[in-house]
Amino acid sequence: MLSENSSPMSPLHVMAISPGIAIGPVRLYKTVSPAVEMTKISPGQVEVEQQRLQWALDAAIGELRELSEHVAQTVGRGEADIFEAQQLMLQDPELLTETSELITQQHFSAAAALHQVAEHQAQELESLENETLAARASDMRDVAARAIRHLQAEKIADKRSGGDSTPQLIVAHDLTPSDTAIFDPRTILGIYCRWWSDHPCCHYSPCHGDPRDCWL
Amino acid sequence: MPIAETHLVITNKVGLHARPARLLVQTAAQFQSQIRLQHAEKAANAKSIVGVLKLGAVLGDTLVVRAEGEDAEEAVKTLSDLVNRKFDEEK
Repeated sequence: MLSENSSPMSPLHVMAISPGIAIGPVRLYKTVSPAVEMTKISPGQVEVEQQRLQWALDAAIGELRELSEHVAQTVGRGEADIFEAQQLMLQDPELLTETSELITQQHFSAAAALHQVAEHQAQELESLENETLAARASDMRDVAARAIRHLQAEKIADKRSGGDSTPQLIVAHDLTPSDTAIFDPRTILGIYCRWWSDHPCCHYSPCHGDPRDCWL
Repeated sequence: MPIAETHLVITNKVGLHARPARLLVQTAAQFQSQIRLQHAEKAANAKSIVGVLKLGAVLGDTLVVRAEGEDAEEAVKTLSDLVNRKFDEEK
């Protein structure tokens, strides 16, 4: 990643995934995860909060289904797989049971409960020795954040429309499948990423490994 | 309640990562039976993608599949076929 004390002209040593030279304006891309407060609810709100949880999960699953179809059409069926796996994460019986218990027994709000359970699951995935499997932790956080945005009534911007159409270079620390699926290849000259797991972004290139500091 | 169990060896190169895990979970979900996977000391509900990923099973590892329910035998056979076909990844 670009360090703050780098001079503007410092060379950046990266792994080149695809050949070529691109020159253009840089867009610093940040994935904004919703801040989640550990809000408690009254016992009387439990049933409503359970319904809100299911509604938010259904909404997020619907979006992932759309993303999956979009990627399948624009990139390929195999590249859409990750979004199918993400849908299953939001339907995971363990995730649902633990989240539901936190709402019912400890009276956490749906967002607070889902955030805690997903974070715990993500940390367990991160602890796996196999880096490819460990990278699924970011998928878990990605899908939980997607559902939590619905619970927090934040409209998720559709970055496919209304965005800046100037061709540009994307610089990011991490890119989730949801981020890359909505990039418009016509307006992107290149992508630099600090951490890049085997997400669809990577499948655009011949690299199916686990590159870091890469340039595409 | 019928019970079926078998040992399976993971023979696809990438092991149980996202796509194979998804296929396994989606296949398990087609059955009414409760299906458990055991990998060394770890166990998982075969219908839980997070549970299956956390098994961390890679090429050469052995899984014990145990199903309990009316369709247990068919469930174990179908899952065995999927694993033995290397999740249709490698022809």
